[in-house]
Amino acid sequence: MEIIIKEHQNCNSIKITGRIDSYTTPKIKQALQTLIDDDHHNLVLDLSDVNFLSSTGILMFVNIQKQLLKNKIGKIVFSEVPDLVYANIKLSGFQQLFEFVDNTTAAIDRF
Amino acid sequence: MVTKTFPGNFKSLELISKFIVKQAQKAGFNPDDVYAIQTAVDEACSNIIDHAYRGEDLGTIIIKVNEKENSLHIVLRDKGKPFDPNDVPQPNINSSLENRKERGLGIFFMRNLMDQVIFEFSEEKGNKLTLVKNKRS
Repeated sequence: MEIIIKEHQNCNSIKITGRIDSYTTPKIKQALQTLIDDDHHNLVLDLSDVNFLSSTGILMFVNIQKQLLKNKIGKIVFSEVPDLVYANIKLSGFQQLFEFVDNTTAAIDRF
Repeated sequence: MVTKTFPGNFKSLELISKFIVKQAQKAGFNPDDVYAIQTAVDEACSNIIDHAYRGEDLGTIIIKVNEKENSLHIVLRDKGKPFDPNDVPQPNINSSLENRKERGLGIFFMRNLMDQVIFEFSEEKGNKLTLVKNKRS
Protein backbone atom coordinates (compact mmCIF):
# COMPACT_ATOMS: atom_id res chain seq x y z
CA MET A 1 0.00 0.00 0.00
CA GLU A 2 1.25 3.45 -0.88
CA ILE A 3 -0.07 6.92 -0.01
CA ILE A 4 0.82 10.02 -2.04
CA ILE A 5 -0.42 13.35 -0.68
CA LYS A 6 -0.49 16.53 -2.75
CA GLU A 7 -1.45 19.97 -1.52
CA HIS A 8 -3.72 22.08 -3.75
CA GLN A 9 -5.13 25.58 -3.30
CA ASN A 10 -8.23 24.58 -1.32
CA CYS A 11 -7.77 20.90 -0.64
CA ASN A 12 -5.36 17.99 -0.43
CA SER A 13 -5.50 15.00 -2.74
CA ILE A 14 -4.56 11.62 -1.32
CA LYS A 15 -3.83 8.85 -3.80
CA ILE A 16 -3.91 5.39 -2.25
CA THR A 17 -2.47 2.42 -4.14
CA GLY A 18 -3.06 -1.22 -3.21
CA ARG A 19 -5.19 -2.79 -0.50
CA ILE A 20 -7.22 -1.08 2.23
CA ASP A 21 -7.64 -3.84 4.83
CA SER A 22 -7.08 -4.38 8.57
CA TYR A 23 -3.30 -4.25 8.01
CA THR A 24 -3.13 -1.01 6.01
CA THR A 25 -6.11 0.90 7.47
CA PRO A 26 -4.26 2.16 10.60
CA LYS A 27 -1.52 3.68 8.40
CA ILE A 28 -4.08 5.44 6.16
CA LYS A 29 -6.02 6.64 9.21
CA GLN A 30 -2.86 8.11 10.68
CA ALA A 31 -1.98 9.91 7.42
CA LEU A 32 -5.49 11.43 7.18
CA GLN A 33 -5.57 12.37 10.87
CA THR A 34 -2.19 14.12 10.54
CA LEU A 35 -3.61 16.20 7.66
CA ILE A 36 -6.72 17.08 9.67
CA ASP A 37 -4.67 17.99 12.76
CA ASP A 38 -2.62 20.21 10.46
CA ASP A 39 -5.84 22.08 9.48
CA HIS A 40 -6.25 20.41 6.10
CA HIS A 41 -9.94 19.49 6.16
CA ASN A 42 -10.91 19.13 2.50
CA LEU A 43 -9.71 15.76 1.31
CA VAL A 44 -9.98 14.23 -2.17
CA LEU A 45 -9.34 10.51 -1.91
CA ASP A 46 -8.24 9.09 -5.26
CA LEU A 47 -8.99 5.35 -5.11
CA SER A 48 -8.28 4.61 -8.80
CA ASP A 49 -5.46 2.20 -7.90
CA VAL A 50 -7.09 0.59 -4.89
CA ASN A 51 -7.76 -3.08 -5.57
CA PHE A 52 -9.43 -4.05 -2.29
CA LEU A 53 -11.48 -2.29 0.41
CA SER A 54 -12.68 -4.12 3.54
CA SER A 55 -15.32 -3.12 6.11
CA THR A 56 -12.53 -1.92 8.44
CA GLY A 57 -11.37 0.55 5.78
CA ILE A 58 -14.92 1.73 5.09
CA LEU A 59 -15.59 2.35 8.80
CA MET A 60 -12.35 4.32 9.13
CA PHE A 61 -13.44 6.63 6.26
CA VAL A 62 -16.94 6.89 7.81
CA ASN A 63 -15.54 7.96 11.19
CA ILE A 64 -13.29 10.61 9.64
CA GLN A 65 -16.15 11.89 7.47
CA LYS A 66 -18.48 12.09 10.49
CA GLN A 67 -15.82 14.01 12.42
CA LEU A 68 -15.38 16.53 9.55
CA LEU A 69 -19.11 16.96 8.87
CA LYS A 70 -20.01 17.27 12.56
CA ASN A 71 -17.51 20.11 13.03
CA LYS A 72 -18.54 21.60 9.64
CA ILE A 73 -14.90 22.09 8.74
CA GLY A 74 -14.56 20.06 5.56
CA LYS A 75 -15.25 16.69 3.99
CA ILE A 76 -13.91 13.66 2.17
CA VAL A 77 -14.74 13.39 -1.55
CA PHE A 78 -13.93 10.10 -3.27
CA SER A 79 -12.67 10.11 -6.86
CA GLU A 80 -12.24 7.39 -9.50
CA VAL A 81 -13.52 4.58 -7.28
CA PRO A 82 -13.31 1.22 -9.10
CA ASP A 83 -16.69 -0.53 -9.52
CA LEU A 84 -15.84 -3.49 -7.28
CA VAL A 85 -14.54 -1.20 -4.52
CA TYR A 86 -17.71 0.94 -4.78
CA ALA A 87 -19.82 -2.22 -4.55
CA ASN A 88 -18.54 -2.85 -1.00
CA ILE A 89 -19.14 0.79 0.04
CA LYS A 90 -22.71 0.48 -1.30
CA LEU A 91 -23.22 -2.83 0.48
CA SER A 92 -22.24 -1.15 3.78
CA GLY A 93 -25.00 1.43 3.25
CA PHE A 94 -22.61 4.31 3.92
CA GLN A 95 -22.37 5.55 0.31
CA GLN A 96 -24.85 8.37 1.04
CA LEU A 97 -22.34 9.90 3.44
CA PHE A 98 -19.90 10.64 0.61
CA GLU A 99 -19.67 12.34 -2.78
CA PHE A 100 -18.23 10.24 -5.59
CA VAL A 101 -16.59 11.99 -8.55
CA ASP A 102 -15.37 10.25 -11.72
CA ASN A 103 -12.35 12.48 -12.23
CA THR A 104 -9.75 13.50 -9.63
CA THR A 105 -9.01 16.89 -11.23
CA ALA A 106 -12.74 17.70 -11.23
CA ALA A 107 -12.95 16.64 -7.57
CA ILE A 108 -10.04 18.96 -6.66
CA ASP A 109 -11.73 21.83 -8.55
CA ARG A 110 -14.90 21.40 -6.45
CA PHE A 111 -13.20 22.96 -3.44
CA MET B 1 -8.84 -29.76 -2.20
CA VAL B 2 -6.13 -27.29 -1.16
CA THR B 3 -5.18 -26.49 2.45
CA LYS B 4 -2.92 -23.68 3.61
CA THR B 5 -1.96 -22.41 7.05
CA PHE B 6 -1.32 -18.71 7.72
CA PRO B 7 -0.03 -16.85 10.79
CA GLY B 8 -2.93 -15.13 12.58
CA ASN B 9 -1.86 -11.57 11.87
CA PHE B 10 -3.10 -8.74 9.65
CA LYS B 11 -0.03 -8.94 7.43
CA SER B 12 -1.27 -12.38 6.32
CA LEU B 13 -4.44 -10.87 4.82
CA GLU B 14 -2.78 -9.98 1.52
CA LEU B 15 -1.32 -13.48 1.09
CA ILE B 16 -4.66 -15.04 2.06
CA SER B 17 -6.42 -12.84 -0.55
CA LYS B 18 -3.96 -13.90 -3.26
CA PHE B 19 -4.49 -17.57 -2.37
CA ILE B 20 -8.29 -17.25 -2.35
CA VAL B 21 -8.44 -15.20 -5.57
CA LYS B 22 -6.36 -17.85 -7.35
CA GLN B 23 -8.63 -20.67 -6.15
CA ALA B 24 -11.83 -18.77 -7.02
CA GLN B 25 -10.54 -17.92 -10.50
CA LYS B 26 -9.51 -21.55 -11.03
CA ALA B 27 -13.04 -22.60 -10.10
CA GLY B 28 -14.36 -20.38 -12.91
CA PHE B 29 -16.03 -17.56 -10.97
CA ASN B 30 -16.49 -14.18 -12.72
CA PRO B 31 -14.59 -11.10 -11.41
CA ASP B 32 -17.60 -9.88 -9.33
CA ASP B 33 -17.90 -13.23 -7.56
CA VAL B 34 -14.13 -13.55 -7.12
CA TYR B 35 -14.14 -10.14 -5.39
CA ALA B 36 -17.13 -11.15 -3.24
CA ILE B 37 -15.36 -14.34 -2.12
CA GLN B 38 -12.13 -12.40 -1.48
CA THR B 39 -14.05 -9.88 0.67
CA ALA B 40 -15.89 -12.56 2.68
CA VAL B 41 -12.66 -14.44 3.47
CA ASP B 42 -10.81 -11.22 4.39
CA GLU B 43 -13.65 -10.24 6.78
CA ALA B 44 -13.65 -13.76 8.26
CA CYS B 45 -9.88 -13.69 8.89
CA SER B 46 -9.99 -10.17 10.39
CA ASN B 47 -12.76 -11.39 12.73
CA ILE B 48 -10.68 -14.44 13.75
CA ILE B 49 -7.72 -12.21 14.67
CA ASP B 50 -9.88 -9.55 16.40
CA HIS B 51 -12.49 -11.70 18.16
CA ALA B 52 -11.24 -15.31 18.41
CA TYR B 53 -7.53 -14.68 19.09
CA ARG B 54 -8.15 -11.10 20.34
CA GLY B 55 -4.78 -9.99 19.03
CA GLU B 56 -2.15 -10.71 16.42
CA ASP B 57 0.25 -13.68 16.32
CA LEU B 58 -1.61 -15.70 18.95
CA GLY B 59 -2.38 -18.65 16.67
CA THR B 60 -2.84 -19.77 13.07
CA ILE B 61 -5.64 -19.69 10.52
CA ILE B 62 -6.05 -22.89 8.51
CA ILE B 63 -7.91 -22.44 5.23
CA LYS B 64 -9.22 -25.37 3.24
CA VAL B 65 -10.67 -24.75 -0.24
CA ASN B 66 -12.73 -27.45 -1.87
CA GLU B 67 -14.23 -27.03 -5.33
CA LYS B 68 -17.42 -28.99 -5.85
CA GLU B 69 -19.42 -29.37 -9.04
CA ASN B 70 -21.72 -26.41 -8.37
CA SER B 71 -19.99 -24.50 -5.60
CA LEU B 72 -16.80 -23.51 -3.79
CA HIS B 73 -16.49 -24.49 -0.11
CA ILE B 74 -14.00 -22.57 2.03
CA VAL B 75 -13.41 -23.79 5.59
CA LEU B 76 -11.50 -21.60 8.05
CA ARG B 77 -10.28 -23.00 11.36
CA ASP B 78 -8.73 -21.31 14.36
CA LYS B 79 -7.96 -22.26 17.96
CA GLY B 80 -9.08 -18.98 19.46
CA LYS B 81 -11.91 -18.25 21.86
CA PRO B 82 -15.36 -19.53 20.82
CA PHE B 83 -16.90 -17.09 18.37
CA ASP B 84 -20.67 -16.78 18.49
CA PRO B 85 -21.99 -14.56 15.68
CA ASN B 86 -25.20 -14.10 17.68
CA ASP B 87 -23.19 -12.03 20.16
CA VAL B 88 -22.61 -9.46 17.41
CA PRO B 89 -25.64 -7.27 16.65
CA GLN B 90 -26.69 -7.10 13.01
CA PRO B 91 -26.19 -3.62 11.57
CA ASN B 92 -29.41 -1.99 10.43
CA ILE B 93 -28.25 -0.36 7.24
CA ASN B 94 -31.53 1.59 7.04
CA SER B 95 -31.01 3.35 10.37
CA SER B 96 -29.80 6.94 10.38
CA LEU B 97 -26.11 7.37 9.62
CA GLU B 98 -25.51 8.99 13.00
CA ASN B 99 -27.02 6.14 14.99
CA ARG B 100 -25.84 3.20 12.94
CA LYS B 101 -23.98 0.56 14.91
CA GLU B 102 -20.60 -0.17 13.42
CA ARG B 103 -19.93 -3.60 14.87
CA GLY B 104 -21.04 -6.57 12.84
CA LEU B 105 -20.37 -5.11 9.39
CA GLY B 106 -17.87 -7.90 8.62
CA ILE B 107 -20.39 -10.66 9.34
CA PHE B 108 -23.03 -8.68 7.43
CA PHE B 109 -20.65 -8.64 4.42
CA MET B 110 -20.00 -12.39 4.70
CA ARG B 111 -23.71 -13.21 4.87
CA ASN B 112 -24.55 -10.94 1.94
CA LEU B 113 -21.70 -12.01 -0.32
CA MET B 114 -21.81 -15.78 0.22
CA ASP B 115 -24.63 -18.33 -0.20
CA GLN B 116 -23.93 -20.11 3.09
CA VAL B 117 -22.10 -18.98 6.24
CA ILE B 118 -21.91 -21.60 9.01
CA PHE B 119 -20.18 -20.99 12.36
CA GLU B 120 -19.34 -24.04 14.52
CA PHE B 121 -17.24 -24.56 17.65
CA SER B 122 -15.84 -27.63 19.36
CA GLU B 123 -13.66 -27.72 22.50
CA GLU B 124 -11.26 -30.05 20.73
CA LYS B 125 -10.94 -28.41 17.30
CA GLY B 126 -11.81 -24.77 17.99
CA ASN B 127 -13.78 -22.52 15.65
CA LYS B 128 -14.83 -23.73 12.22
CA LEU B 129 -16.33 -21.32 9.71
CA THR B 130 -17.68 -22.65 6.43
CA LEU B 131 -18.26 -20.21 3.57
CA VAL B 132 -20.01 -21.50 0.45
CA LYS B 133 -20.39 -19.70 -2.88
CA ASN B 134 -22.58 -21.30 -5.53
CA LYS B 135 -21.53 -21.21 -9.16
CA ARG B 136 -23.96 -19.37 -11.41
CA SER B 137 -25.78 -21.70 -13.80
